[in-house]
Amino acid sequence: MRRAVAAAAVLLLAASACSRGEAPRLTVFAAASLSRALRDDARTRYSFAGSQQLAAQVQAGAPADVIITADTTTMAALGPLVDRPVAVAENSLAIAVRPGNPKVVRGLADLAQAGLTLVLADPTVPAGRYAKQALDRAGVVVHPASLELDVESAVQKVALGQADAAVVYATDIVPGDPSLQGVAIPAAQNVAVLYQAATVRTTKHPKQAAAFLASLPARLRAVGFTAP
Amino acid sequence: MDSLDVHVVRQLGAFALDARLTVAAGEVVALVGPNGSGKSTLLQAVVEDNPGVGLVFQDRLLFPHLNAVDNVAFGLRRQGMRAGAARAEARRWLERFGVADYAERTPDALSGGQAQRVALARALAPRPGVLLLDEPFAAVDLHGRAEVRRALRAALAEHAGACVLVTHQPIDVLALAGRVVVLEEGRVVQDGSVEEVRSRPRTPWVAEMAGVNLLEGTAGPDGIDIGPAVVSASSFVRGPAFAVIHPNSVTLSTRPPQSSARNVWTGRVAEIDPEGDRARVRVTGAVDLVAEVTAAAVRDLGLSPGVEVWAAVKATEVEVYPA
Amino acid sequence: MRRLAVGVPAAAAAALVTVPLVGLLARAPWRALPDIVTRPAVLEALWLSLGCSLAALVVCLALGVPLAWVLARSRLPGLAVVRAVVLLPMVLPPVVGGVALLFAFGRGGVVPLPFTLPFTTAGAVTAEAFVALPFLVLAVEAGLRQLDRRYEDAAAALGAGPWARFRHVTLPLLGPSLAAGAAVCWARALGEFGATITFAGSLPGRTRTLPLAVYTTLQTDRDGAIALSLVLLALSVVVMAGLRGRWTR
Repeated sequence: MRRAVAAAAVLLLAASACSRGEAPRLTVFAAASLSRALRDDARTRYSFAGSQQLAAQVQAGAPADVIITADTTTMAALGPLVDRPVAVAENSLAIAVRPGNPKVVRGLADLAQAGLTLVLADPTVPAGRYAKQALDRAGVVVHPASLELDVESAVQKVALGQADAAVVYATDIVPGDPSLQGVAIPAAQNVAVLYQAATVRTTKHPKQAAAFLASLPARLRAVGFTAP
Repeated sequence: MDSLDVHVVRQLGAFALDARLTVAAGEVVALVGPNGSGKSTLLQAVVEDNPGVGLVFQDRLLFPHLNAVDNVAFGLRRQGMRAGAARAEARRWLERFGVADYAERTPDALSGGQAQRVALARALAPRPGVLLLDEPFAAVDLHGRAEVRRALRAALAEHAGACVLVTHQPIDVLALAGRVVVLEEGRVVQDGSVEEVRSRPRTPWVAEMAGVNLLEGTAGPDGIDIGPAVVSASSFVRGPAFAVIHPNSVTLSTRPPQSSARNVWTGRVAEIDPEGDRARVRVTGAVDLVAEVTAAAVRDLGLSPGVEVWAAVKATEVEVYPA
Repeated sequence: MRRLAVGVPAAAAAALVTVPLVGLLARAPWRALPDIVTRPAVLEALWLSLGCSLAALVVCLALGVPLAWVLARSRLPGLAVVRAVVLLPMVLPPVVGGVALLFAFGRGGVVPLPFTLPFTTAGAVTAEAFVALPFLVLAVEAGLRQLDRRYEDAAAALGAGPWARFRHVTLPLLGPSLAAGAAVCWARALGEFGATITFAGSLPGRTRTLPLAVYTTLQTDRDGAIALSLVLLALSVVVMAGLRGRWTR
């Protein structure tokens, strides 16, 4: 019995030591569409999810230092929980299709053709909302096979060859990716997605957070996002 | 098929069963033998190989999810009888065995004796040609046994075909069976009438069951040579033979006897089994014997394990028969 | 001292399960509940979930009982391997299961089908059956092993053929294990999320079962999501309570 208690005490100390020592790692909550652009490193730890889900976690008190959303409404809803948000990048929509574009998709209008398996992100998620806006603007009525929980899943369905097309972020289509191809959407029908980043007020590392925020625009531009 | 004439051969691991069993219609044969001799296996094999055979299991195996009526009706339903008719017939059988009051009860609510009678009814209801009973008195207390015996007699009166009754209890053999088949280590070692098996056992186990002393040897003009001694007997049998000495015929004394008995052996008392006002005394010596004496004699002679005794048997009380 | 050693962990275990449920009930929008629960989208998800989970149960019974029989009674070699494989979905992360299903029955999958399974209700049923099958097989196999086969011998002696023995003796005696297995199987199918969304996607009315609907609703309408969760909870409680008698028999 005593040995067990001693072992537990040692484990607890070790655990706390791990979190206390070394340089502090920033915890960054970022929109799912940024998952390919930002990677964990020695100083930063990322948590990717839909913008709304991240905001909900912050509201519940999750220990994030920075939050980056893909839509301004969600950021606005966080209100006093964050410092003034900063625009860090812009994105637009594109159509992901299977390599070789077998269903010959040239634009949004082609997505309505019979026999084409289309997946979109659910309208409750920013990417889904944007897609709906674009489709409405183009006057196209589609019958998607699935409304995925986030845009990543929509991309995956096309990459796995199970869906023919998906309306995704332009940055989701990486040049050289053998499992996907991209079809551009003209600006007239497209949507401008504004990424905002903000420091969470309860952060313990305000200086690192500010530095991180300042570095974001350049980093994102380097991987295909456009300047805000 | 009302009679039974089977030759059963089975191999279960190291145990080999090879037995012939013939039972005529209306005949009741008691199948006896030591534990592990293959009696249950033999019955099981007979059921497997022959259709129309009713079996009452040692463990009864009444279906736990059905009440007594539905248990008894089971065989009838499988024969195609409609539910209503089957249950009515089942109730009649339950009444015949005096368990009609328990018709709606499930097996876990029945006593050993009641369950045994329901099991009997279940086996008999489909009117099988041959009826096999595996230790019907097992797991039934003393009080229940009387009821089961009554039910069994009624059942046998109803049943016109052959019947094989596996039992451990000599009383049942005497009361119900006409013939006895003895199974030892998977083989039939004796098959005869109850009287014959009792008076002329052919194996030590049967002799034990019959309650007599059995000796085996070679018979000649002087008697039967069993190795360590020659037992004087008056008989014309020659060659390999058995000798039976009834415990009553053995007299014991603590001094050399002064009687006309031709057979006198020394020995020591090994065990004393009191039975009411009599006692069975097991004596070991040149010839191992069981003697039956009065309890008074035990006291008077001061018999107890280890005491040296003389055992005497008259030659005329030794029965010899060919092996 | 011994009572503490047993009592404290036991209480902790009970708390681990009860406290989150209590939290859910405490945060529930009780007044708005009737309105939320009768929304068309919610009713749609509810009927879909019930239908798919029951269909999955039927599939599991039809396939799982014979499989359990083989595992319990047959003496074929290599059955231990079969059992290990059948139990895989229990330990596999559901999303991995969904991906595996895609590679098997999806477009360009190993098994060519004359019809499409992904993105269909049948696909949702398939995903649910996949994750729930091991629970049924486990329970039924255990039940069969516990069965005293001599009852079947007794039935045979009374003239019952193989099918009659199964129907009138084996199945009734298997009852409690079968019921318990079916209940857990159905509950697992009802609650399935990862495999369903990966293999069948999420479309209201076609593949968006209650668990998927809860997740989606959570994005924008927390009260709605809690209400949906309560519906799921209520469904499970009703079935478990209904089977409680059989379970303990």
